[in-house]
Amino acid sequence: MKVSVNWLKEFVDFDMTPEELAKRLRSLGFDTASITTVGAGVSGVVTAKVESREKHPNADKLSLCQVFDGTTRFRVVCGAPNVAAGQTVPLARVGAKLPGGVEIKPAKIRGEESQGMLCSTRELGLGEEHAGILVLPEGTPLGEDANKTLMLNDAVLDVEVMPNRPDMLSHWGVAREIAASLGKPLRLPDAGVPAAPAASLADIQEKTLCGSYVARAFDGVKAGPAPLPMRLRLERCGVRSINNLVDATNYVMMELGHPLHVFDAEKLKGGKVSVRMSKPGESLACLDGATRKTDGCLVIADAAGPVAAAGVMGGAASGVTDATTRVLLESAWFQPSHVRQSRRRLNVTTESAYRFERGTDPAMAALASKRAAHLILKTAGGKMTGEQELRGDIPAAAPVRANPARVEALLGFHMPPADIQNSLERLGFSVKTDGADFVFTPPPHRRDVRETADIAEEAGRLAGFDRVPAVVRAAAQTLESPSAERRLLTEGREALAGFGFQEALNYGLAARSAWEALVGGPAEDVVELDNPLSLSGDIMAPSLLPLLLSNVGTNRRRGAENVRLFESARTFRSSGGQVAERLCLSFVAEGADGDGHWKFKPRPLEFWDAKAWVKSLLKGWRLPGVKFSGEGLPSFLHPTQAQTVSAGGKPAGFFGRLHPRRAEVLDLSKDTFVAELDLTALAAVPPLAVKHAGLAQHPALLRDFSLVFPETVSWSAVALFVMGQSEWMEDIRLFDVFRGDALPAGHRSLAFRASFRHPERTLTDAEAAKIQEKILEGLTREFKASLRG
Amino acid sequence: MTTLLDELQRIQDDSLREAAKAATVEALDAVHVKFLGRKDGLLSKILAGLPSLPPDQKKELGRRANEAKRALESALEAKKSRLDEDLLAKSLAQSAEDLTLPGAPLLRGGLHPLTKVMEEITGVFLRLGFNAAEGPEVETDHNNFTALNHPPDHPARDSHDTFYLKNHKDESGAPLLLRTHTSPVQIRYMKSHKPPLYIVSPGRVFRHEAVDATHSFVFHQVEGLAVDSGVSLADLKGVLSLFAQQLFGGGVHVRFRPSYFPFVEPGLEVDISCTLCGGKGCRVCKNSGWVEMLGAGMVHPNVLRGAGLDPEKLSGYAFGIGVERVAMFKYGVDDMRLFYENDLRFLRQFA
Repeated sequence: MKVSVNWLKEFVDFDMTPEELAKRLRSLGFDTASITTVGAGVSGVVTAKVESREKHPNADKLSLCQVFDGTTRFRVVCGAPNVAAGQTVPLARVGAKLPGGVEIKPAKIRGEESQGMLCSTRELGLGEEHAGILVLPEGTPLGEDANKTLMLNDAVLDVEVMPNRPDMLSHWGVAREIAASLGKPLRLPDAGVPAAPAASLADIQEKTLCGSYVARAFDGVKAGPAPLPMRLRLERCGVRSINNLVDATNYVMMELGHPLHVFDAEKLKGGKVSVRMSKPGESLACLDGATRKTDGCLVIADAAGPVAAAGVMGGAASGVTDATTRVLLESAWFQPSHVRQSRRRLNVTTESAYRFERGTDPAMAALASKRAAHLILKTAGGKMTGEQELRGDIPAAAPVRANPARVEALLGFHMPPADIQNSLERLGFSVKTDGADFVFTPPPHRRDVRETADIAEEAGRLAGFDRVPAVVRAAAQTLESPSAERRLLTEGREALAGFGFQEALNYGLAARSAWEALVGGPAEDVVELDNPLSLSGDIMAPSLLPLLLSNVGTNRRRGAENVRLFESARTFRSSGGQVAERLCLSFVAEGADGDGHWKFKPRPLEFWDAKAWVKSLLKGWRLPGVKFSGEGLPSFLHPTQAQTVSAGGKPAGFFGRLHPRRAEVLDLSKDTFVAELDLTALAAVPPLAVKHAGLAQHPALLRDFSLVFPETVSWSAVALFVMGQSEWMEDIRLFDVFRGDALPAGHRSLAFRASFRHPERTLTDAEAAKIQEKILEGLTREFKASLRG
Repeated sequence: MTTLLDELQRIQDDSLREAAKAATVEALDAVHVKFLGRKDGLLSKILAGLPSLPPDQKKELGRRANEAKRALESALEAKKSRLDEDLLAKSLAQSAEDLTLPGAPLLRGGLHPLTKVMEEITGVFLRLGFNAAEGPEVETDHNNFTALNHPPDHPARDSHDTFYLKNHKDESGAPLLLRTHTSPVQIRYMKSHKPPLYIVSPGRVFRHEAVDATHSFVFHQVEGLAVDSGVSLADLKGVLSLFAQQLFGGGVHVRFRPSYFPFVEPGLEVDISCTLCGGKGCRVCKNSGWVEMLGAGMVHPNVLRGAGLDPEKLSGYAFGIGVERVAMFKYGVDDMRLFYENDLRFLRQFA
């Protein structure tokens, strides 16, 4: 809401700079986005008539003008192309001051004396227009101080008004709040109109949607430009001037906050309007040129159909033009939520709908109508031929019962009942006492005040919330441990940071096309947005990897090497109409295990690095029974250098080398490794309890094995088997894998060290030899192992 | 006898002098051979000749000869150990490397600045005894709006431009949406727990708006909620003052200004005193000495009632801290987009 300080001063007296005013409004709950000064510091500029214009003898683009300010004639050199004899213009005489500290001095321009300057809009600080001098309307008195004519020395505050305070969407409303804050009286604008005969101009068919409809008819009006002060004020508030009739309604809207509409009565079929619901199939050619279906909207209709969408926009056919002579002025109260629905149906935003949907003051319809009528008669002449005031249903503002002790208990600072009463009275509430309670009746413009908490806010606002002290109270409740997911998340990201990964954060929205390219086919289970901002974010991220991989690419292009990034965030899949939200921890690492070094040469990353990171995470989380397998690998992973992860038989992620084809397409290193762990799934696994097992008191016996196995035998099968061969098996460690010509084709040798330990005594060599023998026999039997020759 | 003793004395003196003079292990070995060599050592020979001497001479000379042998042995040993030390010291000195060369490679990553700030904020409230709570990012219209006192067709909904899901509806048939604030967690928690309750809820939220230096369609909030008997704005100011001091330093002040959020009443904008200029006024605080930091207020009675709580008996406060805003102010970041570009040159500054 753009607020002119000079306009405010018509309603309340105050002596504050625009900055001080903004500060005061801020303390009342209304921020000011910007302050624009208008014609600050202008003096010595008067209105004057250009009596003659001649070409400057020594310059093609300059002219010599004789101007008259009503008492004296001046010779002025002017460079503006639009200057012409007969115009009334602002003349800065010698000694005049303009914004920015400019002072006008006598000058000789190309040999000709100039006794002042004719001013453009910009030179007066009124706006940006600088193509020519500002031409004032005909009939402007000569010799008048331009400060008065052009209402200079003003400032415009762009005040932010929250949706609960529509009463602040006008100058009078802002003035009312300032008056309450300062304890000053508030003046009303002149709404005097001669009496007019009662007439039948309208009827209300939807009484709950239209609580009030005030109609006034005029005849003999003359459409034309509105007076300069009116136009200046509207422009200052960002409203384009149309003509005196439309401007009168807009002026009242900016002044009193009540939207109005003027119809050209000549064009209303049947000479009367009706407030009714739109009939199916009806539409309206609107003032903005678009034709809209009005189904479901409250309309103002004449005998032929809708002429306005109630509270939203008028129709083009019934709009006033320069030829209009008969007018119907509408001032109404429409139900807020219906105007909002209509406005959304019609897919349009207007100043009128903005106010109606937030709630206008029902009591204002009559006053606004009179004020607009006053302005129409004053600026367009004619006479009022009839008036009618109709009432529908307006929900009554309920009195609010509130206990002052409860108000104080919410505010947290001492505020005597008398102060609460006084504050609310200044804001226009009437206050009665009823036992220990107050009963507050809100003024009609304060429908937002409904209960004790609202009263507390009003009392607090006027007293100032600076009075609230800071008190620390203990949170008296049962403490809860962090959730299992949160534990995995916190520990997991610390661990990854320790492994050299930097955490990334992405927007959580992904491109369907990029995801389908990655998985190599249509994705059925993605969660699609109905109103994406762009195609690069048309689905909820089904995995964190597409964006992480793209982050890696970006960093590589910017010169980073051996990038390691991780992210933890929710991923989204659709299943059976439900959205499955899963917290994932994902990482990408590429390149080598370190940057170039003078001594330790980096080596390319391998699958074993990715495996080590994942294993280390699982170990830190103390999650037992998490299994790896080659089943169900996503197609963007290397078919033989990647594994899936499962916990309790349910999928819990995957890790491994990115498929070389994907790495190529994404322009990433061929040594790119990824992992995605589903923390939501892993959180379902109960972690191992921490329990001290004592320290071994007796030495372990170590035995090395070097055996040749067929390639089809996995190490994990061997290790599992060996560990099961004796209750005294303690550990098994693989220390060599060998393939070569010395071995039969399709075979490899595995060398490992097994350790045996008895908890209560030292094992003998004979016992160890027996276990060793059992292992050898078993491996030979079960896995066709043979001793390496 | 005298001659023999004199001879012994001379040999002893010679041996000790030569031991002292030996500058290398080799020279020391030569001294050992010369005096103590098994066959021809000068001292060894005297000792070897002892048995042939008369008993009276044997005793005295034997004592003295053994003394001389022990003295030489101990001198040789001491000298040897000193030479060893010298040798080691010399070889250590020779192996000196340029110790300013870089150490072995060890990669160290780090957490995202927003994670750090979010954890820091959350930590303040956890230490005050708050519990952590989380909620889904896909929410129902009811939890995100209606239960938070944004009825359908209320203009307050305009300030929350919302992403809606395609083909996913809640039980009432309304499309599911991406939560526009962390406040729905209040509703979920109040319905599943009994007061007194104090929670803090960090999370990601979504707004359907274009991205620029100070706006993002994704950002993070830390929501706080306390519902108990007799909770007032003073309690709110207490915890928010502690929060501000923990994050920005001890001297920071908190200021309340009236504002509007439909789910609180009174609703407040909370400013903190500008730490860059100490409240004197600068570019960042637009010369006001105060920086807008978060929204807060007393839980609206409609919200309490909706959760089955009685606003006549209980009251509560709620706040929502914008994590990006705090991080920008704390670290001097002037463009919100930097947080989401994941440029390592940026991220590593916070590790």
